[in-house]
Amino acid sequence: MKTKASAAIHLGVTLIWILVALYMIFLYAPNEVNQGQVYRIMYIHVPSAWTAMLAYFLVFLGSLRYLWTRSPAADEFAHASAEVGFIFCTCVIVTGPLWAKPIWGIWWAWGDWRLLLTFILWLLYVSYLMLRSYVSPNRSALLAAVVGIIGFVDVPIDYMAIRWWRTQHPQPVIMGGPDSGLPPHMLYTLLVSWGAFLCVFTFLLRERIWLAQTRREISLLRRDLVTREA
Amino acid sequence: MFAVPYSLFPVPYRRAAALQRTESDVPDNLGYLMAAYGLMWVIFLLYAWSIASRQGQLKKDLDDLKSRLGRKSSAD
Repeated sequence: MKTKASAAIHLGVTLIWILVALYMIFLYAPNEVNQGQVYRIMYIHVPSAWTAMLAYFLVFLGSLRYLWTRSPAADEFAHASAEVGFIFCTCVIVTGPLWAKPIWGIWWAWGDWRLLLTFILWLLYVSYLMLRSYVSPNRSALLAAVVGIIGFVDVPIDYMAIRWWRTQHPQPVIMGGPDSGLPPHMLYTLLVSWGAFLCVFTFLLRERIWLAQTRREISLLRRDLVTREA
Repeated sequence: MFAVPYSLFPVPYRRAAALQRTESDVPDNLGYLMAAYGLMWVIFLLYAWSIASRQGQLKKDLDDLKSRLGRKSSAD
């Protein structure tokens, strides 16, 4: 009951935050002189990317904890983070080319480190989830934890790629050095939008974790029933 | 219709004209903008629907198992 109430509050806060973010994106943030309206894709593309990286960090933490303790809860946490993170990473992969085409004139640049490493992150999510689906449950948790830990190497390199190498992708707009940055209205809008994405992420994550915990509860009950019937 | 060369105007007018020309020349590309936001909503709503349907199925299984266990306990 308590969980249901807190989920409802979480959902309500998320919906209100989304409305505020949409208001700021389309009415508060100014137009961009060189890109026109299409630059507003930034307000979903960048927060999706940050959230996808954060989600893989959570996969990494859950995987480490699982290897250390062999706790099913840690494995469920890592699995749930991977599934939700995959959704955010897919958003990055979809919205990126839709922004690139009108601005760069091309959908994708394979020679660009940021794009390549983000695509590898997406493939890591796919590999993790495929492992969970196709390998037997006894082994999949261990193998997925190894993928979760080794794959995390990609995340800091992906984050730093636009700082280390000159790429087609724009230079960082936040924490990118003295010449980088956004005008205040755009910066506030970006941060509020990221807040909305974090609300959506945490809501989906808690629901996905509930799903995994209930599945475990059901398998324990089934085992109990079989023992009683035997 | 003919275009008046901007160089004929004083510098402040030329700057203003250049700014206006820049802003109006930038295409809005609203199709790309709408496609990006639309696809993002579709992805999230599909995933939310997928979680909700899996939760619904699990709730049914859980209730069924609990009632079977309850009947078994009372029969024992």
